[in-house]
Amino acid sequence: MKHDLITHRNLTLMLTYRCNAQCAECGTFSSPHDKSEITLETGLSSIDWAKECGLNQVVFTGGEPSLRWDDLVTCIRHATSLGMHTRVVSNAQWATSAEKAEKGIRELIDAGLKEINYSTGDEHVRFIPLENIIFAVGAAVNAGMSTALMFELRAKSRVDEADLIARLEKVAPPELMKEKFNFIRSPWMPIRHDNIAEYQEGIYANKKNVARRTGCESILSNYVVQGSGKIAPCCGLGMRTVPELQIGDAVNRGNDKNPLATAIKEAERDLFLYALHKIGPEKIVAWAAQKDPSIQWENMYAHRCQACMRIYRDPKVKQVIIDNIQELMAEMLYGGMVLKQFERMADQAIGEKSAEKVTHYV
Amino acid sequence: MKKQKLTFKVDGGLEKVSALYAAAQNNKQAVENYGQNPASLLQALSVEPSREIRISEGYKKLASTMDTINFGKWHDTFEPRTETTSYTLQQKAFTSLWYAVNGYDPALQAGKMGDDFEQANAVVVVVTFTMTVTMASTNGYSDKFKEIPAYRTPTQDGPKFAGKEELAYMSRYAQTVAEQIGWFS
Repeated sequence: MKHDLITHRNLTLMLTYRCNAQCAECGTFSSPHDKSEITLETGLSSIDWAKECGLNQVVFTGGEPSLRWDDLVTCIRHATSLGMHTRVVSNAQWATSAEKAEKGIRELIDAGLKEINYSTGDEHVRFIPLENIIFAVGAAVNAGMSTALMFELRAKSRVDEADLIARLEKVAPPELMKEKFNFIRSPWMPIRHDNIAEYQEGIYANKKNVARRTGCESILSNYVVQGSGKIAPCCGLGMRTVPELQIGDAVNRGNDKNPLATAIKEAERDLFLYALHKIGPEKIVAWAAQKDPSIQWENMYAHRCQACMRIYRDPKVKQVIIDNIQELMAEMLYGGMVLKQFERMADQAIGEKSAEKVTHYV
Repeated sequence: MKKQKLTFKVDGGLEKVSALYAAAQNNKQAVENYGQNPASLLQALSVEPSREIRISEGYKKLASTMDTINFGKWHDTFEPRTETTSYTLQQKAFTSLWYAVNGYDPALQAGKMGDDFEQANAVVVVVTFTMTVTMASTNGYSDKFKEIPAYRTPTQDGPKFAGKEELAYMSRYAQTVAEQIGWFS
């Protein structure tokens, strides 16, 4: 890992794949029926391995991590004791009243939790009432915690977004909400690459906007110890179904003293993962379509993970990329090289200007 | 038949790529040579090319015109982030880069935009005019942006300098221009 091409790495810990909800198209295939779990010992060891590797953030997700409440709190406390930043991603199933929400948040903060992200939208509300979200956001923000709500973005949502926002605005003083709360719309993604969802205009990738799509910020940055114990180099939706993304095992690890370090090394050997990181899946699908014009891709994908699923799961797209991968790699390597030089020149120019009149900064 | 895996494994992986970039960092000629002979990029990673390797023109254009870019011009284009502008770039943003790579200045030739609207290159011109539209974020985008001190710039005549994040943004934009020209024109 002696290079500067990946600037930060996180550990994502899925203590369980179990979830009290059973959302259609769940990106992790979680449900009440999937009881895959790692032990507390594996969870704690994963945090130790991450620390040894220089990772400084642990994200707890799943499945619904709060279904392993005591273990979750223990892991947060352990990560905190090692000086690591922590975040929980939850559906707020535990926040069934204002009192329970406050009690839960207090316990998480006592353990050292720094951030919490909730999820809701048409699918989630089938299983977790919106009231839980309201209670949970209120408890977290009023306790001064950085809080985000991920809202399922669809062409037509049954959940009244404006009403939800209006209700959320009342849960804490405006200044605190402004400082601590983020409302984030995220395209709800069908888990199959050939199931095309409806979104508002302008959300889909197409020729007019694909050059502006950035590289994938998750791959090679988020290392996930899954509920099965398998290790993946991204926290992407559908990642479980891609054999190429199963790069290590935290449970069946033989004599490996740090399977996370082994997994990172293995992932960083695969330069196609770096292409996903630098170029991004939408552009790679578009590139494949240039090689084989029968590949349709425009106005199909809003969520980049679905484009990534297309790359790995559509035999035609996958084969085109395999057949031309050396060209893709050369394109990526050359582009990266030119951009590095570009950054250096810009940096120098800016450095010189800044040195001249630095006092003009406000 | 065993399913083929989509990987490109190289011993040394990213460490080798990083070393390759470092070696070319201050060597314009080396970058130019790699552009002319892209197979040599693979050879530098100890990968033997299985056939002729071609790459698109966009990055080559960016590389060959980089010396003519007036980076200073960019500093004038940043404005403070506000609650309502998700990105802080105004219509003149990155004009210099666009001019250098593509030969004309979109801000001065707005009329051309309409004529070229359907042409891929012009799409980037449009991008320069619409930078306040929420960018990219394929995993989601936030309604709210905090005002970050580094973004606060003098309101009158004073110089406006790019910070680290703007620099990264410039680089992303350079990537956009290069790829728009290279892949989609």
